[in-house]
This record gives sequence, C-alpha cells and structure tokens, in this order.
Amino acid sequence: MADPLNISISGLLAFQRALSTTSHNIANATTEGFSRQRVELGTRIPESLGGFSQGTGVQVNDVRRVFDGFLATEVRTATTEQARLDVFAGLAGRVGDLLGSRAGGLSTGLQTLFEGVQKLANDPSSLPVRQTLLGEADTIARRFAELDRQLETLGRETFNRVESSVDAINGLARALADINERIVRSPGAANGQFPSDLLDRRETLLRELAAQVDVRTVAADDGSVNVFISNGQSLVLGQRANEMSVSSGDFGADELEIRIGGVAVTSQLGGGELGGLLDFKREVLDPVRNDLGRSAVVLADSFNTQHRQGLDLNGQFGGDFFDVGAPRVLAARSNSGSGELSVAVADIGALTGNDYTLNFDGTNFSLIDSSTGSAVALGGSGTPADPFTADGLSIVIDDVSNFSAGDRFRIQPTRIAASGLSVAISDPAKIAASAPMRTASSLDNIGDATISAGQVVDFGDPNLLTTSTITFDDPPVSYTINGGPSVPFVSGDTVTVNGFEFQLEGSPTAGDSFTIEPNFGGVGDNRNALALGDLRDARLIAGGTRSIVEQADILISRIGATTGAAQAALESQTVLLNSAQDQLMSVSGVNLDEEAANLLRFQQAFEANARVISIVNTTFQALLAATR
Amino acid sequence: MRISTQMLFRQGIDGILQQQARAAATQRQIATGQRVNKPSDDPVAAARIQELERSLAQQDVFLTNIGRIEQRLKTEEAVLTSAGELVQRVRELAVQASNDAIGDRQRELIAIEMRDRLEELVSIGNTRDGDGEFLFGGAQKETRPFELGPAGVSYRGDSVQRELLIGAGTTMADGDTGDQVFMRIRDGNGTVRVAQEAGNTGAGFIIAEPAVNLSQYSGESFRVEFGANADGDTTFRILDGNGDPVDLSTVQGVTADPTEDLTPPVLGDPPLPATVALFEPGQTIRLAGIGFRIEGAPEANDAFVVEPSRFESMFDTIGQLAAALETKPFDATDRAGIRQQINDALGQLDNAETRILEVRAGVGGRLNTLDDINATREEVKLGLTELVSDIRDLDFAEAVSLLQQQLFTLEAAQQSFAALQGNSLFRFI
Repeated sequence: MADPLNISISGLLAFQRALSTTSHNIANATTEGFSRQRVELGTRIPESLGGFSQGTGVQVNDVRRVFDGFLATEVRTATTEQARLDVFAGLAGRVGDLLGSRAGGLSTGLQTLFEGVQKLANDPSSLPVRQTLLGEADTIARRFAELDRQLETLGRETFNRVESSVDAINGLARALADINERIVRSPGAANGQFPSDLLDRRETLLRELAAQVDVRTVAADDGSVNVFISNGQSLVLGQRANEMSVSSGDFGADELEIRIGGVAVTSQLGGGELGGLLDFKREVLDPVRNDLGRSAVVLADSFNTQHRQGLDLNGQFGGDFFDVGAPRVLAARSNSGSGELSVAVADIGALTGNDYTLNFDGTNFSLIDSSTGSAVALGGSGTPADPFTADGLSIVIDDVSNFSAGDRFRIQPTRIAASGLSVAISDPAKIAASAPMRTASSLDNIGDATISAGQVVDFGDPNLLTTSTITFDDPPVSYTINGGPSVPFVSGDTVTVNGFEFQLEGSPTAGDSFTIEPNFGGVGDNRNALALGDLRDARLIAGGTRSIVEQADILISRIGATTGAAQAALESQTVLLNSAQDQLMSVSGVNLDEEAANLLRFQQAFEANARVISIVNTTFQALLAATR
Repeated sequence: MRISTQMLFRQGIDGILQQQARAAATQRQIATGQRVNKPSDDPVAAARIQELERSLAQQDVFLTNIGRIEQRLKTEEAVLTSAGELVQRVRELAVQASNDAIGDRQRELIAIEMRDRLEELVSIGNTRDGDGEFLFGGAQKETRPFELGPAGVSYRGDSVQRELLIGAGTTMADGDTGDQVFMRIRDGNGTVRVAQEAGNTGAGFIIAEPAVNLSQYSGESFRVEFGANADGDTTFRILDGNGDPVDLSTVQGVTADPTEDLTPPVLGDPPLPATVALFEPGQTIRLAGIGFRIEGAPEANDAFVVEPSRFESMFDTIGQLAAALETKPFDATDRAGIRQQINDALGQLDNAETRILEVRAGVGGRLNTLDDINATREEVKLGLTELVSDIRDLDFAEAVSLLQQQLFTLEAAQQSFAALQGNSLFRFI
C-alpha cells in the first residue's frame, strides 16, 4: 500500500544504505586493491490504481563495485613485466659492479700481471722481481677464482629466490582457489551477485601472482577464475590449486627444473620475479661465468704454451705457469648407458662461451650448442687417437658399446675454469724468462757473414739443447754442420738444425764458423719474458679477433649493455605500470571529496525523508484532532 | 579524468621520492667527484674507462722501461768514456814509443804502463751495473765476461742483446755486448791487414792505405816479395793467393823493371806480361780495390803480406804492443820489426777508438730517441688522462647547479603535496 509513510521509510532505508556504502568507501580509502562501491537506487514497482499508477518509493537495486576488468588486466600485464625487469636489472647490475670494480675486477688484475712480466723482462735475473711476478700471478688467479665464487654465490642466491618465488606462487594459488570457493558459495552467486570485497581481494591476489610470474586468467560462469601459466598449464582450476615445484634438472643441481603437477614448465615460464630470475640465470649469469672461464683458460693456456718454450734460471725448460679448471661434463640422470666422456680444450682461439649437449642416438653422436640450440658439426671419430673436435674442444668417448640410445651429456667447457685457476709454480727460479738457444759467430771469423738470433720451431726435438757448429768450406759456397755433409750456402736462407731455425747472411770466408748452443747461464736474457709480455695484446680469443685484456673489456661492456637496456626498459615499464594503475584507480579508486559530497547529499536526502515522515505524522495528528 | 585520493597521494609521494633519489645521486657524484662511481651508473662508459685506464697504466709501463734503458745506457756511456780515454792514453804511449830516439829503458817503462792500462781496460770490461750484473757479458750477466790469462784476454759472455719494450710492439736494446765493444774490431784498415814476414833482413815496413773499394776486393791475400835486378836496383813482385805473380798492368802506381826478360817461350807469341816492378819507398801500390805503401829499405828476399783483416780485440792490441815494446832491438832489422808493430798497433788503436766512438754514438742516439719517445709517451698519457677524466669525472659547476635545481624541485613537490593533502572537503563539514 502506497502510503507516504511507507514511501518515506523506503527512502530512509535506501539512504541509510547509501550512507553505509559511502562510509565503507571512506573507511577503505587506502585499502590496497579496494574498488569503490556505489548504491544503485531505483523506483519500487508502482501500484496500479485503476487508470493510473502510483509510485511506491525507492529501493536499492544493487551495491555495485566500480571496476574495469580490461584495465585490471593491463595493470597485471604491466606488473609482470615490471617485476621481471626489476629483478633482472638489479641482478645484472650487481654482476656488472662485480666484474667492473677497480679493486677486484679483471682488467686491473690482468694489467698488473703484465706489468709484473715487464718487470721480469727488465730484470730477468732478479729473484725479488721473479717473486713479485709470482705474487701478481697469484693475485690474478685468486681474482678469477674469487669473481667466479661470487658469481656462484649469486647463482645460489638466484636459486633460493626461485624457490621462495615458487613458494609464494603456491601460496597465492592456494589463496586464489580458496577465494574462488568462497565466491562460488556466496549467497548471491546463483544470481550472478558476487561479493564485491571478495572480488577485490581476488584481484589483489592475481596482481600479486602477476608480480611473481606471467599468468593468464579465464573467468568461469560460476564466478571463479581459472589461472594458467603461459603454455596453458593450469595453476588454479576453479577451487583447486596445482602445486608448482622446483627440482634440479636432468643434468644436476646447476640447472633448475620447475614443474606444475609433474609437468616440466621451466622453458615456458616468463615474466614476474620468477621469469626475471630465470632470464638472469640464462642470459647473464651462465654466459658470464662461461666467458670468465674462457678468459681464464686463454690466460692459462697461452701463458703455459709460451712459458714452456723458455729456459728458467736452472737451464730447464719452463713448466706450466698456471693450472686451470678442466671442462665439466655432466651425464644426464636419465642415461641408461655407463659411457663416459673426457673433454679437453684443444684450440683456445675456437673456444666459445657456450655450453653443449652431446646426444647419442644408438649409432651416432651429435652435438648441440645448448646456448643457441643449433647443431655443431663434429670432426674426428671420438677415439683417443682421433677425438671428436668441435668449437675448440676435443671429446674422447671411452667405448661406444657403453652408450645407450638417448644418452645425453652436458658439456660446459669453461664454466668452472675460472675457479680452478691457480699458479702452478712456487719457485721463482723456475720462471722461464730466457730463450732456449743462442747463436754466435766465431771471434776468428774473417768474412762478414752474420747469424740471426733464430727461433725454436720444434720443441719436441730431442737434440734441441745441443751445441752445433756451422763451418764454411773452402771455397765458402757451402758449409758443414758438425762436420756433416756439405750444404750449399745461399745468403739469407733459413737453416734448421735440431728443431732450431736461423738465418746466415752476408759473405763468409773459408773456415768461418758459427755456433748455436743452449742458452745456459743466460740469466740476463729476457726474450721469453718479452714473448710472455706480448700475450697481453696477442689476439688469441674468438678466432683471433680479441686479446685477453680486450675480452675483459667486452665482458664488462656486454654485461653493461644488457644492464643498461634492462634499466631503460625498467624505467619505461614503471611509467607504463603507473599509468595503468592510474587508469584503474581513476575508475575504481575512492575520492574522499567525492565521498564527502555524497555524504552531504545522502544526509540531505535522509533528512528530507525523515521530514516527510514528520509531516505525515503532523497530517495524521491534524486528522485525529478534527475527529476528536 | 577522475582522480582518486589514493592516486593523488601516490603521485605526490612518487614525485617526492624521485626527486630525492635524483638529488641523492647528484650528491654522491659531488662527494666522490666522479660521474661514474660503479659500472651500473653508466655501463657503457664504465667499459670505456676500464680500457682507457689500462692504456694509461701501459704508458706507465713504457715510461718505466724507458727509464730503465736510460739508466743503463747512461752507465754504459760513462764506462765507454773511460774506455775511450784509456785507449787514447795508450795511443799517446805508442806514439812516444815510436820515437827512434828513446832508449830501451824508456820503452820498458812505457811497456809497464801499458800492461797496467791493459789490466784497467779488462776491469772496465768487467764493470757491473747498479744491479750487480756485468754490463758487457751479453745475457751471461753473472759470468765475468773478460778474463786475463797467459794467452791474452778471452771473452766468456755471449752475443745476446737485451731488448726492452718501449711502446706497443717496439723494443730497444738496453746495452751492447762485450764482444761487439771490445773484441770484434777489424785489424789493418778494416778490410785488409798488412805485415812483414818473419826473417826479413831489411829495414822496410808496410802500411795499408785506408781507402778501399769493397766492390773490387774479394778477400784475396797477396805477398810482396823483394829482389834485385842486374842494375842493382831493388825490385819486387806481387804474388796472389795461389803464389802466381800478378800482371803489373792490373796494378797502379808501379814502374815495371825494364831489365825483366819478357821474351815469350814460343817465338811469335806476344811478350809475357810484366811482373817485376822497381821499388820506390813510400809509393802507393793499388790493386784489386786495396792499396798499401812500403816504407824504408827492404832488402832482397824480404817479404810482406797483405791479407783480409781479422778480428783483434783491444786487449790483444795493447797486449801485443806491450810485448813488442818489451823486446830489446839488436839491429836495424829488429827496430824495423818494432816499428812495424807500433805502426800496426797505432792503426789498430785508431780502430779501437773508432769502435768506442761508434758504440757511444749508438748509445747517444738511443738516448736521444728515448727522450723523444718519452715526450711522446707523456703527451699520450696526458691525452688519455684527460679522456678518462672527461668520461668519468664530474663537471662540478654543472653538478652543483643541477643539485640546487633538484632540491628546489623537491621542495616544490613537498609543498604542493602538503597543500593538496590539506585541501579536503571534510574540513568544511
């Protein structure tokens, strides 16, 4: 019955609800993820009174949540990318600071080492100078090892952060499943009336999830939201959450494997903190460790090769100057064969900074560059006499019959090389600074022929360190070596004796003689030290395009460029995220001034309705008084 | 666009935080004086700085090496100066001794001083540098290079010259080896040497002409054999390396002996070539690109040899001269012999002096080159330092004004934030 009292009461009730909603908005003005709510008022169903209808007051149609799903998706997408870049740029910057620090970086260490070599070249016989060089070599070796250790620590930290990120994802997935259940079971759910505050709470959880990993959401009709990671593997399906887990991969703890409900999804994960961590490990940490290791291998190998070609203070050929970590081979856990590989570095110039996978298909071995995914041609046959060769590596397999089809091996040529770098000699007298051979012309010579300083061409010659005399015949158109057969003389021609090569030039006289002899006692000779010093600028890396020190620069500039790009992207992504958030807040956010105005408006409306009741009351009292 | 209160708040706070971060970064730059404090500040510049700093350090290496070479070359120069003075003194003594008027006793005294000088020269050859290494032993730095024994002075060093790095791929020797300085000195005129044969009875001696034509001289030996013709004139023949007389038409500066019988063995053949020449003291005889003079009064059957010169050490020159002066001449022949030896020694002392001058000139030249390189290196270093500074260091004026601007903006952001936050409709109801 449409009496004014009832109509006013409907107004009172409606505006009470409106005031409640406004106060809810004001109370939640700073609540994260809260969407403002609005009371939707409507007229009650009118009363039909014969030829006309009479309004019956106001009713609350809905308390609506002001929200835009598209804008919310945009915020999530921006959050995912921003979180990924934030983690990536931060970690990459730390690697750059580590490698580029003046005190602990490679560049200064290498420079100091080569300065030590120059000091040796200046004073080859001085034991203190030799001791200094050993000290500087030890410093650079420790620096390589220390850098690698810190990178390894960073790797462990990454692993731990991956684990905690996965924990967070699992927690969020469970919370989402739970909230899905509460939404589906809410009283109005059957009519499509879902509690706004639960929807907000779920949106906040989704945003938190997006900060961890890139997800797609699909809304179901019953009000629940299904959450998938990029390849379609479901993380939350209705009211059930699937468990995400981290384990070590097929090749051991160095490679992470992330699974959802038993399905490996590592390669499909992207975005968010988890994506950033995985990207960092794949794009920065592993390549940098490989490159650092490659520099260590090149330093050790080139130094050792040259050092073995000189004589030390005891008149002995130099030995290895540095020890360096060997290539690491990891057999897949799934291998059924018992075959083993031995891998060595054969050519430092051809060495890359990549990892490889060797596959066996039952008859043939094939090599895949794990970093690029492309096949690498294998030379040789894999036997010790004829090893497989590829990208500067030599690979020997113990016995084909020990391998089963499907066996896989991960080869990391330089991953742990840097940590294994150390100085192999401790006795300063064992530094080989002098050339192994010297030449001289006899003081009795009459002619003006000269002999060049010469160089060793075959260090394997067993008679290398022996004295030989070249004597010119009469007439001096030929000469004999140690009284052997006469050899015709052509001025400037190269002569090789016992693996040692030199030139005789000029016009000799019959009987003139020249000697080549081992450089014993030549403590002032610095020729091998100079050759060691030349390694600073010798282009030995990447097919002869870079020197050791240039490689250190490239390492820094490459990581620098990666960091710089990530930082720039992070900045623009942050702007993008802020703008998406502003857009959403512009729709959903609470404006206190607006609420204050609403408060006044609803208060006035409430007061007006109350006034109507008072007037109805006065009217009723007047009616009563009239009939009294 | 509708503004939500939270958005207003966040934007205000974000603005303040951003300005604070910028001001803090500028403040850190001002505090360290460097624009790039760690590689992540400016990754690209960091790599460039690293490269430049290494080049800079390498310039210092070159400068150090140059300093080492200079120090060693200066030591060598000083030692060479005293060696040169010693050779000059020996030369003076030889000139004194060549005076026919002096007696045996005086010659003996000269010989004694010469022996002293020889020992002094040996000890000069055995000079050690500041590091206690022998200067002239080649790479045999710990072996005394010169040893005075009964058979003269022997060299026990080697011919290995030490080079130091003075620029990228450029080296320079930091000294000279003892064999080059003291041992490998050509005797005679540097191409040929001359001598009188033992058993000469006359008072003649032979001197090699300094001028030679190396393109014509092929290392042959000659022997000049004296005789007398029917007229009683002194004559000579020149025999080549095979002992055959040389055709005088190939020799300049000689007069053929008219009494020589040139009749061919077979009648009708052209006459035989002249081989016997009339002797004229002091005449310059030139053949095969070389020349020599024979002075004094050689007698028939006397002979002189001309042969390719050999190495003779300074020590041997002085030692042999002293030995010659120690002999007591019995007659004119002996005196001619001594005269010949003094003459040879004078020539050889000239060669020794020339060698020392040459080596000193080489050292001086290297020192000059080092001065130039030093200057260049310093310039390069300065350039590199400026470059590093440009990239890494801070422009203070710019940074300070930037900081002021940033602080001003920060203050404005703070004030506007406070104003906006204080401005609420709730204050009016």
